Amino acid sequence: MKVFVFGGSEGLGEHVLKALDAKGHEVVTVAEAENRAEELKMIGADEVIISKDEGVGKGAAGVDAIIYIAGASQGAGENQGTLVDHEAVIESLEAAQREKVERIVYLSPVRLDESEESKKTGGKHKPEEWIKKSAFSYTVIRTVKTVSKPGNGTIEAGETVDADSDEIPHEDVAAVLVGALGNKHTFNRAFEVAQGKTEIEEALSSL
Amino acid sequence: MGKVTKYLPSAIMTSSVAAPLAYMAYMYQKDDRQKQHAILRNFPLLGRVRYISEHVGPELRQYLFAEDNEGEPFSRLEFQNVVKAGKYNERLLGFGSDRDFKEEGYLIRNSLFPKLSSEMRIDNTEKTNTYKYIIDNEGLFSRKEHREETQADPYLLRDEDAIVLGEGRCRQPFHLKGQVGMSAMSYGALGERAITALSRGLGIAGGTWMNTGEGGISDHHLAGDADLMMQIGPGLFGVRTPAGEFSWEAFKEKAEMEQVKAFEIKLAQGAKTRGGHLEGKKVTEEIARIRLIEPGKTVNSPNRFIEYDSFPKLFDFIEELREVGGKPVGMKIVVGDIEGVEEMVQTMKESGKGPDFITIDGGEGGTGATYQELADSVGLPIMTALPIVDDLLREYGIRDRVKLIASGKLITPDKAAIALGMGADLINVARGFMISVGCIMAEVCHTNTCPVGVATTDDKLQEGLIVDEKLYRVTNYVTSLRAGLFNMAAAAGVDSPTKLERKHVIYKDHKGRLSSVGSMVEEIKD
Repeated sequence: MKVFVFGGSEGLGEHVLKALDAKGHEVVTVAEAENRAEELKMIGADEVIISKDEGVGKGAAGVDAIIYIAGASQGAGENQGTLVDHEAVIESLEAAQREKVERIVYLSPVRLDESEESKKTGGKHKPEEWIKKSAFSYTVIRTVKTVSKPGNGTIEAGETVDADSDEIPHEDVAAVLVGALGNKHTFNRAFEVAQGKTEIEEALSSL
Repeated sequence: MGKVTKYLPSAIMTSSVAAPLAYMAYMYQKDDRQKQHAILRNFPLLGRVRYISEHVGPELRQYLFAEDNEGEPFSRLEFQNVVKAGKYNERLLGFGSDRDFKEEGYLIRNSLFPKLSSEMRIDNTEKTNTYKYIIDNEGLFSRKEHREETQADPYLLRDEDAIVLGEGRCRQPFHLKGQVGMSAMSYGALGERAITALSRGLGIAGGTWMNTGEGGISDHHLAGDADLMMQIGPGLFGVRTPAGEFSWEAFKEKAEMEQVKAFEIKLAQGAKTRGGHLEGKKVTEEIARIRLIEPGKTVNSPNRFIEYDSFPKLFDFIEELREVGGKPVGMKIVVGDIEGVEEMVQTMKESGKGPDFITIDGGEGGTGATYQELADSVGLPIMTALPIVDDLLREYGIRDRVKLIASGKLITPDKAAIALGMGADLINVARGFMISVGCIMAEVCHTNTCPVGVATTDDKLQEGLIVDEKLYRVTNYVTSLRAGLFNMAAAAGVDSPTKLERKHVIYKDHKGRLSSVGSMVEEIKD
């Protein structure tokens, strides 16, 4: 599958590239500068578009799926929704649709452990609503804060999850995003992911 | 019974006053009669204050009276920077520098257009699994903190930027994706726990090396996955025949070890241009096996390789080592005799022979044991010695076939970056690594009584050093040094610390006047 990866903090984005590469997908992504592009290729990207503006259109051309990491950036915590420009996210997704991309795996900036009130701050939940109404075959994922710790290979997933820990390793979230791509049980579903004891593949398949 | 309770308190009172008084009276007349110390004869008892103060002076100064920028060999701040990098993997500071900017020193010339982090040629593709401390709460008398596992960026060089020792000159060149490694520290000088923690920590960090010191390759050096550089000193430890001659057989055996990546012939060391002396009682079965000497017997080693007294002879030996071992061979020198160094470079040029790398030890370098006069006043300091060798190699057109390793108090990224600019390809650190495994600069390395179990083989003292705790501090220290080098390169406007040059460094004197560090040799020759 040809996959376009967009967004994500350094750690998470890199793990997604690595996981996609390991599964033999063709990977396209964006970088700010030539030297960073080279590094992303070393990690597993096949094609890197160098662009300073955050356009999605060019990268989405001719791909089968998009992994869109809107959330889990360090700023997107409790009541800090304004740091996510939901209008820009929706614009990007519209551009992807014009490029006839069919599948999207979307990591939401909304954290599952935020207060109900905080979940809507700055309208950061809006892209989720938009995606659910769109023509995409979608998977919308909410999780807790992602951190640079070694992955466990296990998670807990479900419509709503009671998280024991307020953080989850980048590696595990990356495995969830990549695992969800072709897993039919995740199609047109929105679910939550936290640290847990179930193998990732199994947790996704039993949704 | 009643009597006892009645008189007991006053009995205790009396004896608690009388006993010390009696003791003091005894000491008073002992001091008065001894013939060793004038001050005690003239001021019995009182004179002892002098000796007590002298004894605890270093600790008092270090903990109470020293300013942040004071203290030798490393200031309190330098020491703290190393410890914090290792423990918290975090080096940010607030408000500004505490450096005394009125003092003279070298500075990096920053570009008005520094590089963005995305423009740097870093290889962070494989993360390093390590542990770091996080402070939960800090009060005056207590600090609550916990340790957690983390995936850290290793800050390696790109493959194309890697420094290669012995490229095109030997069968197995040594590729280095990092520019900072551990300088020579022998097992014996450091205890097995310290060496083990260093070996494992450096192995996890990758892109670095561990110099075994002239004491040979111990099992503790091999405990981790670190790449080793085996040092061969005039004592020929680990590569000698029972009669004390060089053993090609033993050398071959070492060269065939996977972990051994290069050899270094030690001609001299910054603080130790004296010969070696190893007391018989320190030659345990294990030390004897590693060094190929007889257990229990005192070994004296000369301060020069007896057979090699000229460059042609030395270079022939190096050629043979490289041929037999198939791995790069370098040599460690202290620069003092500039004509001698020029002769060396000239011989290298004319014969086409010579070392694959030269380790330049600055006169300020450390050692476990030497004499004050040699430590203080032999050899040029690194920032003078390094550019001289670099200039001479360039002048003779052979800079590209020799890599330069610099050492001498380069324990923080700024000093290391300046050395890279002054001509070094790689940086050797010794005491920085000692601090990362717990050294508190008690300066008793030569006595085997190191209070933190680093520079001692005493089992009891070593119990204080927990390998599983300290090894990650080694990993964090070396990765944060590399991160710091990338910061300095970005500030200078280049995308890799391998591109730092003389033009990025400037010298400021105590009056604020600047001078370029362009060419050292020309100035000397004029």
